[in-house]
Amino acid sequence: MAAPGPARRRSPALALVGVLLPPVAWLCALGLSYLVQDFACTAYASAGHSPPATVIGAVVVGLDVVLLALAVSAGIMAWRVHRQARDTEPSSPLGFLGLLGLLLSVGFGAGIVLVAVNPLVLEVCA
Amino acid sequence: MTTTDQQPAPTAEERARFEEVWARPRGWRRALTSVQHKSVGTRYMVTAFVFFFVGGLQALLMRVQLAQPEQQVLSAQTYNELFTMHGTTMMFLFAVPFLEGLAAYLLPLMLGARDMPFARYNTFNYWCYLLAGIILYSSFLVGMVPDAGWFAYVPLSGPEFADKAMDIWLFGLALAELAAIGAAIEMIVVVLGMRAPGMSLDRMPIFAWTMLCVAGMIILAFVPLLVGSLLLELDRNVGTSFFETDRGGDPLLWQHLFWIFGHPEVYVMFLPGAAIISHVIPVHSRHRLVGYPFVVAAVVVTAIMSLGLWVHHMYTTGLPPVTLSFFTAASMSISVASGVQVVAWLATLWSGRPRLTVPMLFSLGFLFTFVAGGITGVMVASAPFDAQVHDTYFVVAHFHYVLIGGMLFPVLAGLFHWWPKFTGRMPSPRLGKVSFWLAFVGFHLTFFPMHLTGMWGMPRRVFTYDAGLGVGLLNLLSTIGAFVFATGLVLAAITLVGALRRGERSGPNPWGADTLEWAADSPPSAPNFARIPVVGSRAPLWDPPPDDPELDRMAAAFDHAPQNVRATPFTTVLSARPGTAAVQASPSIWPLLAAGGLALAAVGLLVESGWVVGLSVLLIVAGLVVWELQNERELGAGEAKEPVGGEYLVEAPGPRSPGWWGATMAAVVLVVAVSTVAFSMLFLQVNAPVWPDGATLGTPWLSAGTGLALLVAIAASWWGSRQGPLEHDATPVARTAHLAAGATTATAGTVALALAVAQWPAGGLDHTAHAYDSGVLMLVGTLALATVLGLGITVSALVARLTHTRDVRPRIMLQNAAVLWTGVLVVWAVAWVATDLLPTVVV
Repeated sequence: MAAPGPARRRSPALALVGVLLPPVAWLCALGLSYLVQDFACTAYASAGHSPPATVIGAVVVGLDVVLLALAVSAGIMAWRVHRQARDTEPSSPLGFLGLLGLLLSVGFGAGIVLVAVNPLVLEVCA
Repeated sequence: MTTTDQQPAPTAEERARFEEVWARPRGWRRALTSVQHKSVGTRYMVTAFVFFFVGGLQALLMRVQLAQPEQQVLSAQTYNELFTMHGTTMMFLFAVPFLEGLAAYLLPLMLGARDMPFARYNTFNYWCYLLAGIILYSSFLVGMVPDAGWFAYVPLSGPEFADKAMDIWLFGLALAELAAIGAAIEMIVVVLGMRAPGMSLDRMPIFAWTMLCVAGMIILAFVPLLVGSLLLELDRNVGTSFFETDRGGDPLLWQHLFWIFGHPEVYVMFLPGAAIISHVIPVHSRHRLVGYPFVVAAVVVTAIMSLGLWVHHMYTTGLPPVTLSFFTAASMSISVASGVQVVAWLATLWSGRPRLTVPMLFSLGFLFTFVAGGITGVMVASAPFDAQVHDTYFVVAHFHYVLIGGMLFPVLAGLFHWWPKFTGRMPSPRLGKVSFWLAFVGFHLTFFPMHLTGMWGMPRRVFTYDAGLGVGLLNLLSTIGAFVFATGLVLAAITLVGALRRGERSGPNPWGADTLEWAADSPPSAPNFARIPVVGSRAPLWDPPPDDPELDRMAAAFDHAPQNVRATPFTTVLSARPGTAAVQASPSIWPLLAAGGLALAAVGLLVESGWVVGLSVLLIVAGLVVWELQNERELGAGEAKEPVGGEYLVEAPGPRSPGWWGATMAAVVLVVAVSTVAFSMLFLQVNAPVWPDGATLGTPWLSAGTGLALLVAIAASWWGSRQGPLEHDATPVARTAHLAAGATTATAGTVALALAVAQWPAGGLDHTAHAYDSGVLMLVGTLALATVLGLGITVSALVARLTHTRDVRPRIMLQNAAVLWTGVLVVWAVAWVATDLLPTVVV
């Protein structure tokens, strides 16, 4: 039997990345948004300084944009794994994992957008 | 299932030997030593239901007190004690343990395995849980009942305002949490590695997917509460200052730690409930679950998002608006995932031919109630609305709709659904339907009026109310409803228990269900499956078996085999292809001894007796040592013969054996624990009005030496794990290498422990002086504890080397040690970041 090609050997790893990355991205988006905004504003206030609200807001939104890009990339990767598995190995669980990764990317990507818009419409260190 | 001609059918003698290996102990030995998953699962469920009825009785007493305004049936103090113990009982002693028991019973059956991966550890967890319940309820006997609420907010639960009752609560809680974390590790390993050949991830039952996610949530969310409980106990009895503002602490830290646990806890209860519904509705609608991938995605999204919603319990604590908005967004997002599951159930009902059986009635009751609770959940997820109804009966109504609708109704649906499997008897449908209607009507009569009483301004957690508030009639309705509800639940219990004697015989699959548990006998035999089933679809009992010689070969190899030791197939994570044979534990009393030792330690600390604590340590150590020796003896018996079917090794290194997964999970638990302490330190640092300027532990050489010693421990154990052949019939050659590796690891670990502990006196800190010092003490303690665990597994590896002839088992144990030591190294790194790096880089 011929050895599987590099692309097929990579597929399980890609599928796993596609499934795991969106949740991690969302958790990081929420956790870092909270940590950066809340802790930075509080730390400045505790030290008696005026917090640089614009900078803090920009950092939060920038972080969220990067994490959103990661989640979307994971979704695209998962979709490609899904299509490849569907065409070559219909009985393989990779097709399912690819689809799952895509769905998670959509769900968590939307979640990141909902977190990221807040500093754009509310005062960051109120 | 299919057979192959490569493996001869088992002879009568082989069958008899197989039955003997799996024979259950009888009489008193069965009660104390049985470790089989069905026995442990049943004990969990029965114990949890006893606590449920006790907690329910407390609720009825409270409802009697609240039936009329300004009543004096209960005193304010008694009322406080009752609502504290009601919440504690329902959350910690009923809901989570019951679901863990259900999972312990069902998962091996659903997955086609013969037992849980670490059956003795499973039993140990049960004993811890039972003893936790006994400790908590002993508070009634000694007249010191906890009264600070099930949430135990500081400072109400701190040294200033709470007496010894709070210590009883904290120790009981810690033991229950320890049990829950252990059960989670069991669930992860059984789902990932012990599925029937062919049951790839995309063919896994929804219940298994859900319990996998729930187990992850328990590890990530319950560990912070365990840490929080320890911090509070230290504040109360050792003089630390994590929650005392004057010395750099902050009471809000407790709320963070509690709700980081508390909110996922809601989904730890709801998700298994939803999974039960995902099994009951398809079977009783005679149609496959619509949208399986979407339901799996929804479960994963719900599980992950639940970890990030804790702040929505703290909307009124003065957090900044943007912080609130982050968590409002997250709270709204999760409702979409729950909605996806609801749509899948409705589509299944629509596409199938539903039967109005008792399980289906409870499922429909769940749908109606949970959707209503979900809608009020979206309402309270909004910070402005929550600010209006916070701490009113509206919130009480909301969470009872979610918890009873989302957990209790599905549990009852599941009990009526699986009762024929558990007992071999059908419960009376007539009584079951009456019990459903009483419970359903009673529930809504109890809790719907609370929305109104809350909106009209009735605060929760008060023992009476003024007649002028105008909520007397609504409260009377709630009280009447509570008794109707209780009648329905008692009738449901009578129906189920009565079926044990009078129910019709059910046969293996009375509902015509699709998952593997229905292929086993009713009730299942001790090994569940004498011949392991193979799987080719999501509905293995509705579809023809797969034509796959590799899977059939494994099934044939395990047909009434092995006969010298209990074992089950261990398969690959992704595709469940045949892998190895995992040895399963036989009956043992040692888990009870170890758990009893832990409970005795709690008692010793409560009564402040050094002798009792010393005795408890002896019991724990003795229990663990004999337990380990018994493990090694069994594994030796398993390895003594050729691989199962001549092909499947009795365990192998890496993720092909349960031990590797267990060690990895233990390392994860340690890292979560130390991260929680580090988060707490950071939180206090940025919130404290006074923090020691540029404070660091200031022992760089000791800290670096600790890290170096840990690296040596990892390297030595890893090197040892590479020595010696894996083949079953190979001559052992690595005895000396394994002993040298084990001894080097143990020495390095001991040095690491000594250096880690030495940091505390060398740092010259006083844990009572400031929260920073308290945090350092906690971090050094966590590192020391992790190192002791690393030493424990290293000693086990040495024991394995001394007791086994072949090289395989010591290799596996040294590899497991290397995994755990890696976790200890991460603990060290996080501790260093918190003690020395963050104080210098954070403003």
